[in-house]
This record gives sequence, structure tokens and C-alpha cells, in this order.
Amino acid sequence: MEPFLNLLSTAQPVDAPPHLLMGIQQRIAVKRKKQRRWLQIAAAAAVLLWGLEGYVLAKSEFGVFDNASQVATLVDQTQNSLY
Amino acid sequence: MQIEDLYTAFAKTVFNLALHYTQNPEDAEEITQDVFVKLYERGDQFKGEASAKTYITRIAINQSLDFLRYKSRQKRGGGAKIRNLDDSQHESALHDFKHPGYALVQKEAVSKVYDALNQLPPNQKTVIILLKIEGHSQKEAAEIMDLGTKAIESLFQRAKRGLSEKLGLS
Repeated sequence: MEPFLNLLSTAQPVDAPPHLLMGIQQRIAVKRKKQRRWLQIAAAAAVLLWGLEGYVLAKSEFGVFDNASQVATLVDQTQNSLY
Repeated sequence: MQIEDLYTAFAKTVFNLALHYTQNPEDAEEITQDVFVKLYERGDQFKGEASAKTYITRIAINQSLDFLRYKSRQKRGGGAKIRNLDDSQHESALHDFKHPGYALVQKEAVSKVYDALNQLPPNQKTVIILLKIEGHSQKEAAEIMDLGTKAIESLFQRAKRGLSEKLGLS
């Protein structure tokens, strides 16, 4: 057994090919680009939601929703019928 | 630490380790790239108890084993001529010996030993690679594999027995 193990141990270390680093850097650059894209999408979604919230709040404070007035009428009618 | 600095320090270690697992430079290149991209993703997550070299060696071993499992599944999935082989024949069929670290005169003999090595379970193959090919001490191998030194010795003895059987020596 030992001769076979000794045979394995005669392996000489080999230098890593120089083009490997470039390949690694390219893959990392692609990952960074994807991460930036996701961040941009998340930021745009956050801005959209914030804008939508502002619109809804402004409308509810200063404006009248048609549905809300109809609901208010219905509530009044219901209350009147109860009393 | 920048990825370029890590590469300068550890690329040779990782590449050679991957070569010992795959015996194929193209596969070893792919594994080496995967290791450094993974290092980038994990940032500087070196655990307190392990050195950077130990940590990176562990990643390299796991990536190599994952690669071999993936390649084995791929080859099993395609090609009718492989489907009917039993496990040992299948492992030999997967083996394409192109390890550049051995002298040409030795290649045939070494290839046969690697054929047997490739048939061992992953942890036995790893202990042989670490102790006999890479030349680590039992203590270093124990740290890399996160085992006790006695466990490493026991694993090594089982690996030697397994290798003997595969080589037809016992």
C-alpha cells in the first residue's frame, strides 16, 4: 500500500493559470451589477409606495371619496332605521 | 482583504487541491473560480478558531466535492452506454486523468491509483489527499476537516483499507 501512497505524494504543485483572476473579476462584476439593479428596483418601489401613500393621505384629508360618501349615507340610513 | 490579495495568496493552494480531486485542469479552473467568487460573497467571514488558509481550504474541498457530485449526476443523466455500469465502472468512466502535477512516465501508474481513490467515500478521499498528496500533518488535517486527530487517524486507516481493496491488494 505504501508504494501507491508514495506515488500519489510525488505530485508537484502547479501554478494557477493567470487568466483565472480575470474570470473571477468578471463574475464578481456581474454580481455587483445585478445587486445594483435590485437596489435600484427596490428604491424605485419605495419611492412609488411613498408617493402613493402621500396621494391617498392627501385625498382622504382634503378630498371626498365617492365611495366614502355613499358609505356615510348608508350608515346614516341604517342608524335612522335602528332608532 | 481584497479578492485580488486573497487570490495572490491562495490561488495556487486552491487550484492544486481542486486538481487532486478532479485530475483535470479545466475542472480545477472552474472550481477555483467558484471558490473565490464564494469568498467574495461571504466577505471576511473567517471564523475565530480557523486561520484564513484553513477556512479557504475547507471551501475549496466542499466546492470540489460539490463539483464532482454535479458532474456525476450530469453524466448519469445522459448517454445510454453509461447507464448500465455498476458504481465502480461508472467512477472509472468519469475519470479523465489529466493531472499536470505528475511526470509523464508516472501517469499510467498514478492514474490507476487515482481511479481507486475516486471510488472512496468523500471524507476518505479527502483525508488521503490532505495527508498524502498535500502533505498536511494529522493536526492540520484535523483542523481542516473539523475532526479530532484520532478521528483523522481512524479515517485514514479506513481509507487505506478501501484503497487496498479497490487496487486489488487485499
